[in-house]
Amino acid sequence: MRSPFGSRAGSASLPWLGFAPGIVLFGLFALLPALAVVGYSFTDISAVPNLPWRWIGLENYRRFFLSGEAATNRSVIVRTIVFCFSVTVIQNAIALAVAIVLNRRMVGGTFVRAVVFMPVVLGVTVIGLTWSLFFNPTGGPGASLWGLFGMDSAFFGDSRLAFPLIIFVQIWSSLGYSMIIFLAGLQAIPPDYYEQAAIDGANAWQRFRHVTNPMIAPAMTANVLIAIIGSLQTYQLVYVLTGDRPTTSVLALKVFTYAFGHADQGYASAISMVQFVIVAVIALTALAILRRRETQL
Amino acid sequence: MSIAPKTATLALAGVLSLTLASCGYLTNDDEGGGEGGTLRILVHGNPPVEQVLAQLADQFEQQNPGTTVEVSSVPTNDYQNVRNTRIAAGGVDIVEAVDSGFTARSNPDYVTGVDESPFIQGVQAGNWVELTGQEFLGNFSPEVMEQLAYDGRAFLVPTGTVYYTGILYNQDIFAEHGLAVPTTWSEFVEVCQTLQEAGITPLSMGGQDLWPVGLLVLALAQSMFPDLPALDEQLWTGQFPLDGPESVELLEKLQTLYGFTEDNFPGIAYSTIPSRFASGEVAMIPDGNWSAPSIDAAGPEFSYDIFPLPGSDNPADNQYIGGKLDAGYGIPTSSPNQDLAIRFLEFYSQPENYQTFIRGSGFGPVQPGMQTDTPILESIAGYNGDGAFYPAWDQVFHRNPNAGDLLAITWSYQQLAPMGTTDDPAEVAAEMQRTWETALAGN
Repeated sequence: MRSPFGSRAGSASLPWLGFAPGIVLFGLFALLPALAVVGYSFTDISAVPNLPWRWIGLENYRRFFLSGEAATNRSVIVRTIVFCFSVTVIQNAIALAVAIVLNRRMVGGTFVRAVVFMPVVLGVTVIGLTWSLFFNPTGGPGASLWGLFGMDSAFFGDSRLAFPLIIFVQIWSSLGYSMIIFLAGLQAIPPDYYEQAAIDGANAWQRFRHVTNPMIAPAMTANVLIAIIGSLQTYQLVYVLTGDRPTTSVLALKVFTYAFGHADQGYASAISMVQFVIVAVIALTALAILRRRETQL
Repeated sequence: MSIAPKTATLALAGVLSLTLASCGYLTNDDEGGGEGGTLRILVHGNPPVEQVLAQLADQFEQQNPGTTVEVSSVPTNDYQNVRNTRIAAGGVDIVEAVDSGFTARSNPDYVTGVDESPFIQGVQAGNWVELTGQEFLGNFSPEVMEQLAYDGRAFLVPTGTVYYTGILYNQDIFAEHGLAVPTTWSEFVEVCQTLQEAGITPLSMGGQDLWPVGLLVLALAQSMFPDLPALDEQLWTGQFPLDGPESVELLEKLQTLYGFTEDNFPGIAYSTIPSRFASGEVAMIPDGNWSAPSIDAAGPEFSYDIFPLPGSDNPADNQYIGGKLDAGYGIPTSSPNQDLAIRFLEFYSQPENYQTFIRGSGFGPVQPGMQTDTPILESIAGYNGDGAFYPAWDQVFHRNPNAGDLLAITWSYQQLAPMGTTDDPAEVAAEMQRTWETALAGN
């Protein structure tokens, strides 16, 4: 078989020359720092310049799981998983519904698509500011809306409501991205399949279940994995909306707080390793299930 | 089209060279040094301080032709990280030492298993230029210089004092309702009830930022525990149970204060509080004297004063307003402009320039003979006595990292509803005690 890279002498190395910068950059700025974090998690390295650091074994992990703040940390882990599960399920369900509606020929469909996608291009700070102003308890539109029903709330300051509101904002800000992926999947389904199903007497639900569902399985896999990994790594939104509070904090925010707030980078590295294990277990499990589902469908 | 390997290699090398050259360009552009030169000062976000430093910088530039002074600031939450990065890169000449838990004092013997403060660690690592023997340090109060000295050596030039265990109150509202300044807890509760019955919101605070609520804890501790150093030692030696009656009483009083505070205060931003106080929307706010410039700007005719939050029913316990020595200015050893930095600090320390700084920043002065133009600083001096200084609980308490952020100032105000989810102070206290015991066992 002819080589896709040509047959001239010496040209076999040309592809590697193209890959090399990417591999070197990835190694230097992604792989090496990631491996360094594993090492740092066993040290007391701090952000204070020129301070010697020591190997302290599992002390950072003991502190996370067994010290006085262990109960708080367990709550943070549970909240992180709840956040991931809620965002992944709700975001993908709504995104799929919106994509199915927008996949039909309709007046203003392009405009609606642009509106749904718009939050994706906004920065986290802009999103945080927008919703903080909306839910400002002293005169924000959200407070006026609540007032119509005779209610009031501290919103992002409310210890019970703040976390659901953060989930809502996260879904709002990422919905467009998932929707576009689903829409691309839907538009790739040949219309003949639906015509054939209709001729066979399939109703709307049966067409969705037996035609749409299997055909968008790869899009579903991509969306679910993106949502899982994205939500498990989210900290910026929580940070700008509520700060590091005991009722809203998540693992990624703890990493940020200890690394950059307390300059306790060894401990922050240990927390990020805990986060890495959780992300890996959930993402790989989801990937295995979704791949098997794709094959079965 | 085919590209020869040699051509591709050359192109790649060219791109990398350009990238490295760009990095080099950026680095070189930031360097100061030489006669005259550029002096870079980094402070945390505090508009009055930034403005008065810029004013002093202008004067310094006029007196030193060819010299440029750049004053930059970053938000408080990001300050420590940005400062450490710029120190490591040699990109700053004068910085503030405002780490959380800042102290120049070494840990006492009863505090075990805890690192020294980041400032002391920095001194030990050789990060700060020693200023011992500089004549201009003699302009400051010797007691203050002693507080800032580590092992008898000076590394910092003081800024001033701030006081934050008091309550700022609207004098017109108090006069209108015939209210006197309360001197006991019972009187304070009566004042709040009277205001509430008159349809006036007694208290407000910026719960969204968390720390303003912590000021109430510090204020209650100031009056309920007259011997704060002894309390610190008792905590670390396990002799003060956090679920005991005194601790629960503090949380109950905190809950009472929450009840007198504006609805939904956990969602209100601190930045809105000074102007809302100045507009008469609320009668009282727990705040520090640093707010005076903002309040004065929001309401030039607004009449307000301060009193110590009376957490005790014994008036003698409620006399003082606690505070701290605020950030000191230091010179990193990585600075390429150390001589120029010392000259600026000498200029800053001259009484006439320090007077300008004090007037603009709103800090309490730490040089003798200064005039503040800030009435509440005079009121604070009236409570504390001339020149006396009472450190607040957060300046005395040695934080235990193993106890986490919730016990950063001992009493976990973030867990008590409506800031948190627990309505029962005794339950919060029991959780605090469990956390503290586990933390001590791990030290």
